[in-house]
Amino acid sequence: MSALGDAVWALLGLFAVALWAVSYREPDRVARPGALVAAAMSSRGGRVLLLVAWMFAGWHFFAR
Amino acid sequence: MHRPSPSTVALVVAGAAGSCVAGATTPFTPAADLVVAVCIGLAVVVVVAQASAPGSHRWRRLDGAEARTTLASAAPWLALVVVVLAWELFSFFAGPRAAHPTVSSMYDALARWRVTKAVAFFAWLALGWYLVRR
Repeated sequence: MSALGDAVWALLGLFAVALWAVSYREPDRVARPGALVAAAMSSRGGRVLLLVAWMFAGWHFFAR
Repeated sequence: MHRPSPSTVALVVAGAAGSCVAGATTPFTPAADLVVAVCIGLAVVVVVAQASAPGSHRWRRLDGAEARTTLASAAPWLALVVVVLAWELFSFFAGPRAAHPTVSSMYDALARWRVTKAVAFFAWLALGWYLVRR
């Protein structure tokens, strides 16, 4: 059964790589990751949200 | 070729050294808590210092491709995030973990080795530095 779970994660990873590649060829159709982060960080709420998410990820993966 | 500044080299070396220390820690121990807390604390200090610097509202203007970011061009990424979160939640509650791996369980499998854990920690530090500097 783990084959299905692994396959879904692999597909999602491949889709992310494909999106990333398309974003560099057609940035008007698919936003580049950097542009997306910049847009999110241009507001106070987005900035706080991304930084808190980064802190939570570090605490969750490396401390807890 | 662009040469990195001495301060950048010092930061990368310090980050790599910190990552090696973090790679040797075990979760749920004071040492692991301390290493992560120090990094988060430093990030908070930098962000607060930037925000309170006199006359400098550091949030920069968007230009080029960043300014052209629309909801439509962001939609594929937002859809991916929604699907990832949905699959993560399904896997978390479906169990058992061997049949339904989550991001955390996949990370745990990789973090058995000090080297991979140190690399992951360095990537986390680099992402934090990228976010703090924007």
